[in-house]
Amino acid sequence: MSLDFGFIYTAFLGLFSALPNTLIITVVSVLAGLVIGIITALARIYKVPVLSQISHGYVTFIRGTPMLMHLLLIYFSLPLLIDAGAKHFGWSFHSKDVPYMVFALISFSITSGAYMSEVVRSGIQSVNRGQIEAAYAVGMTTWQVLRRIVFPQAFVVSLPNLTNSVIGMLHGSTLAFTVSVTEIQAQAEILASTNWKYLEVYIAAALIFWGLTVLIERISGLVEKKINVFNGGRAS
Amino acid sequence: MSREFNIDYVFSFIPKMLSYLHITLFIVASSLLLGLIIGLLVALPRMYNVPFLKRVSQVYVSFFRGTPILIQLFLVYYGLPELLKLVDINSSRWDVLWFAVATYALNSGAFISEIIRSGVEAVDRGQIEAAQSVGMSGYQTFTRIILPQALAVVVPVFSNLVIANLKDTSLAFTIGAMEMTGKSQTLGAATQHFVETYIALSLIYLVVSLILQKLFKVLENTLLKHEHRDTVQNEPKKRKSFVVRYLNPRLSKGGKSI
Repeated sequence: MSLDFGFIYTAFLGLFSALPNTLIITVVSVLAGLVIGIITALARIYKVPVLSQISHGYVTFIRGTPMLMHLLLIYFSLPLLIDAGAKHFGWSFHSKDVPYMVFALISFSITSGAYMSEVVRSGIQSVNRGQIEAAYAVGMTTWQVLRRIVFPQAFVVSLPNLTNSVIGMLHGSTLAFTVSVTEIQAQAEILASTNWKYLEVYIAAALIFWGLTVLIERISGLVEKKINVFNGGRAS
Repeated sequence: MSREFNIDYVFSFIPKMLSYLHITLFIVASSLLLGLIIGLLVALPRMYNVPFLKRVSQVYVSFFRGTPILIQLFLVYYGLPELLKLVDINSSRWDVLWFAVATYALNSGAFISEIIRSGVEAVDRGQIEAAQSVGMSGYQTFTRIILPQALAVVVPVFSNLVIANLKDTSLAFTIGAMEMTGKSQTLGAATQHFVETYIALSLIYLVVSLILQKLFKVLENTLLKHEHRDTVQNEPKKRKSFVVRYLNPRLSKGGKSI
């Protein structure tokens, strides 16, 4: 087997230039997903008339189709809509002015929102009903109940799922290469095809992702430990 | 970039893509079957604390859960031929489909080993001791006590894995496998109606995953029929599967999230 170990190291360094894009995609989609997730989860828990049906449809569709489809659908349909709008309203702004990264961020936020919605929903529903009633009984408003009683406890329960979602989005960010965003996967393809050393480059890329994933798991483990201190040391 | 949207294309694309559905399902089914074997082999050394093999399987699971499936596809696609060359097997004329199956099998193996472990660990230790105290052999304890309970716990997580696998197969086109997504790429390029292609494709994935979810729901209900009869009757059914699916952090680690 002809494996050029020196080149794995070179590729490793070369891939780091694309790391910021991977991290931007992950962080933005997780945060935006969390916002979408909390809104859709609350709409479903409180059975808000039209909103809860829309949320349900959204979550079902996103969870039932591959992330790649969401990305490609956004990438191909959003420019059509923007250009139609530009033609209709006479905007000076066209789809070609939008960076590819924006399409990736929108699409991944939509994907992550649906998964986050389930994480949030399961977390919130795990909070004991009696506690919520008790909070209402001492005169808290719904917002206070959510903020002081429900969210802190829900967070503890959801942490493992949240970690899984973050890792899922980190891994999902590799799909952005299909819409020409230079994240690690795209950078790997560039490096591999210019040097004709495919295996070495993908080994390096795998090592970076592996390292990042282990790091996220470690951090989550630390947070979990810290939270459980206040929980009387009991695992949730 | 693309031509004007025309809904008719969606309908005309669906049957064309459906004719490639069996390849997608073949990848899912064969990788799950192989993954089940790999998962069992990997889970055993960790459950029985076999010194060296335990570490190997830990690294294997960590690697395949810690790297994106896309990278794994390329690693197998470029790495496996090199490995096979060492044992004098020439894989240059193999269908790329086999590389896709190998990747998804290795990937599912890591997740399945975690599912098996969590399922077995979910069974109460005292029950195993009780089974042994009434004179059951190790094999009897496993098939009569552990397996039925572990299965019931594991089905929801396994169902998530199967659906995640179905969605992951959409990446096989990147190494040139001609499954549904691969077909959609050629259809899109030929007609320049990309939006319609991906709408059609999404609809197919959606329907297939909904059918799979329903099937697993039925299976789960059958497996849980004999368990906690009183609680199942008194509590709303949703609650039970809810706890199993989301709230046991040990179990949720066995599942893929996306």
